[in-house]
Amino acid sequence: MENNIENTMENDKNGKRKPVKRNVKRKKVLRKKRTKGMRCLISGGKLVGGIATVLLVLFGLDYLLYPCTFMRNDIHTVTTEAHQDIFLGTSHGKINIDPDVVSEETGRSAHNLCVGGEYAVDAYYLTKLMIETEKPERIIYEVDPGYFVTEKEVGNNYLLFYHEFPLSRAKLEYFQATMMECDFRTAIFPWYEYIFKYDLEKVWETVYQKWMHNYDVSFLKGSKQEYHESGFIERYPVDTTQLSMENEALKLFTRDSVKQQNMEYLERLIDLCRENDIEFVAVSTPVPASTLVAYEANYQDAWNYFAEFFEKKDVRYLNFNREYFADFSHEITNFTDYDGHMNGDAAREYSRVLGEVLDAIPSME
Amino acid sequence: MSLTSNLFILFVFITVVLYYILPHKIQWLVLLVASYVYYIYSGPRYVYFILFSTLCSYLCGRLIEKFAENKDENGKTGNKKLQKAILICGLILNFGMLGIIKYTNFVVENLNALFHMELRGIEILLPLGISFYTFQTAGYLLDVYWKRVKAEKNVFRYALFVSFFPQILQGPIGRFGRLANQLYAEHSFSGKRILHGCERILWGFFKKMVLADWAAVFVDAIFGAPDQYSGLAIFGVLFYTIQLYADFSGGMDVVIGVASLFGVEMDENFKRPFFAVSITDFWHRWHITLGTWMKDYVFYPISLSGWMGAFGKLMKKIFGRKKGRVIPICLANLIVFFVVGVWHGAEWRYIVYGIYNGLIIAFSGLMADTYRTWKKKLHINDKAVWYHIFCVVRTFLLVNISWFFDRAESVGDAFRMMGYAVTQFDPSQLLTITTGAGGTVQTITVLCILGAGCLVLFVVGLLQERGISIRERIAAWPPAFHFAIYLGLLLAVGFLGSTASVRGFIYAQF
Repeated sequence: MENNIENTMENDKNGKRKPVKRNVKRKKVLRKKRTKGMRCLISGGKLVGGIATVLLVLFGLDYLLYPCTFMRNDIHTVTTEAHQDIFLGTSHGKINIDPDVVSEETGRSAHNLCVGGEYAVDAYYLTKLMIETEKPERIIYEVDPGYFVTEKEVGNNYLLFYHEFPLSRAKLEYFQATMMECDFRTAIFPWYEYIFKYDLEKVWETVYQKWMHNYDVSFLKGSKQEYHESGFIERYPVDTTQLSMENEALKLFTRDSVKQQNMEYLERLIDLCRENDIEFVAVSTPVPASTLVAYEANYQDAWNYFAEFFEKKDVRYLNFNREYFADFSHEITNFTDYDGHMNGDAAREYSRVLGEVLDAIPSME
Repeated sequence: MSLTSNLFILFVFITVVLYYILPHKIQWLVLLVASYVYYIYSGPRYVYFILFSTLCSYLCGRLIEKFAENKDENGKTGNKKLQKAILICGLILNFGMLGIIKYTNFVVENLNALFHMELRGIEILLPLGISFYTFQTAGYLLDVYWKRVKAEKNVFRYALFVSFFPQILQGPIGRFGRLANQLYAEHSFSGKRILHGCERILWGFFKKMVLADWAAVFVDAIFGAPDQYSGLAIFGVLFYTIQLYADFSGGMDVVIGVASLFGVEMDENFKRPFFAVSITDFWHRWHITLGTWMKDYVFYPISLSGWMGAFGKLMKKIFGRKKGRVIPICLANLIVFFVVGVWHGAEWRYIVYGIYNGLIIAFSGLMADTYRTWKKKLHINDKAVWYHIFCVVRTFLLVNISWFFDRAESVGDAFRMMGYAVTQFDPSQLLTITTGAGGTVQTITVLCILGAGCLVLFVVGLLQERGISIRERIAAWPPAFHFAIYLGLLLAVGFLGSTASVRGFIYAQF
């Protein structure tokens, strides 16, 4: 009984404070009863509040810090506008193919969705995304043999695409296929690799573009290259006498070092196009003649390998280093490096040639 | 499945949900299934090795107990010889498997080099966590043999003890007596426990991504080209100290945090090792579960064996009582650390690393009396702060010397780098090392991050060393502050974490 007596101070009728002894047993029980339910509610509220705050912070940071890349424009374009031809592939495709010039020759609308670091797996899910949104009539896949003997590095190379995918089944499948093994930061801090090179002054520009759904690309212009709305990156000419083949980190092809996973995704991509009535054409863009000579064995092995592969898959393969070699000059003056990235003028000239060849395809059938 | 991957986070989340929503009676089964899913996902071929180890040690344990209970003609219980034979058989099968997989190529290489032979090695990747679960099963067998624990009757429950997924990759090496009951017990959901687990995991990620992975950039560059970066040898080893500690202890934080989500309290593997005052003390604070395993299952059996007793008597005769008593202990320590070196890997540098530690401990054991005399003569007070700091610094230096063997590409490289460390010093070379993906981060920025991160670790360590539990202190703060601290830690991982190429945990390769 003693334990239930509590000494408290209370106001009397005159409003003066005076000590009071009170039996608190009943009060304690009531408090206990009340607090059990209340405690659950408070805990649940705290948990929900905590999670919501964390999500809000993460979402806010993503909005502020993930830059507007050219891939944002590319994916937005191909998922909101209907294009007949879509170019997929690597940096060679991105820099050597101007879709506007190709369109002039073929009379078909086109967009360039190639990018450095785009492996067959990315091309496959990008195609899936386009099938879900704006299905193209033809996929022109640029084949760089080096991308079939190397593995894609985990991390931001997937994020470049994944981050710009609109909510879709393709996004979920792409996450499951590629991002699962990535560092968890790719999911919650997609901006983490940009943070150290981020120009703080550009935060407001980024926010403004995202907020206004602005896809202006004029800011994607540097001292060495310029991005165009069509997805084409125009490289400015360089002094080719200063170039050296030794400085190039070429990914040389050998049949033995082909990564089967890359080939599997290429096969899946071809099958996917076939299932969805999308025409599939493979292209290898020109490589400087001196590089072809220096690594003749590797390139010959690559061209033979892909010729056999595409023949087996019944796919048209336009190789500008073999069958169509003579159609475009392989002089180094057309390029900005020995790897095969052209300058803007040469790229436009090559795109014209490519457009003519593509335009001739129906009559070849 | 790396501990830092999206998949692992998702896997843990799903397992935790299933663990608490399914009937509590089958909670251990959820863990077993999850553990095998985890193991099979990481390499389906290697599941046979863990199954073999599990079944061997399970059967041997059961047989040892059975023969311990049987009565012979004289009514005496336990056939000691048979029990011993089964124990040895079990240990040979377990360690034999580990030995063949891990050390065959090492032996073959050395035989080829010594006798100009052309023997072929075996082509096999090291099964996930084999060094850890082999030690765990061997410890279990010895515990059953010594009657410290009862043999587990249910093979599936025992399989969980061997394969419990958070610890399978890099430890800590669990003891049956401590771990098994926790794994089999029923656990109710506790928000507080989940929160604590998440906090611990977060702290581990901070160490791994902000400290270990950034330090690794410098370590890889310096140890990868020791001649090019000769002026940075001393920095190389200091960065390696940061990398190894943050990587291994960060990994342990994640493992212990994940285990605690299931109500399982795992043994701590680190206790502020860089506050150690001697190498012996260091090994009581660094990779503790390996150290205690070695003490219980290698050191004591050797020290108390008949042949060691005879050796001790001989030493007493030759060197007198005092030294004669210390020499067998020193020898036992040398053997223990030789085994520690061999456990780390099938390379000479690891063996030298083990022996180096063993020699220092043996030497300090032999010199203990002399040191005492010197201290008395020089009026050095053991408890003086300056002396304590001196001991900590001395130990830090000795430990850092050992890292040269642990990290260098070869023993020769280790000695060469040690030479550079004392003859060449050029910190400006640090700025020539490229950091971040494609060298996009300024080296000075990374050095600042590392400095600040180390300061945080030091302060936390110092407070813990003084008996202050930081987590409890933080938990006592108002919830908003508590929340802000951990949100800050989470964001620190995003803002300050390494953007260099993704790397796994160092101890996951053992």
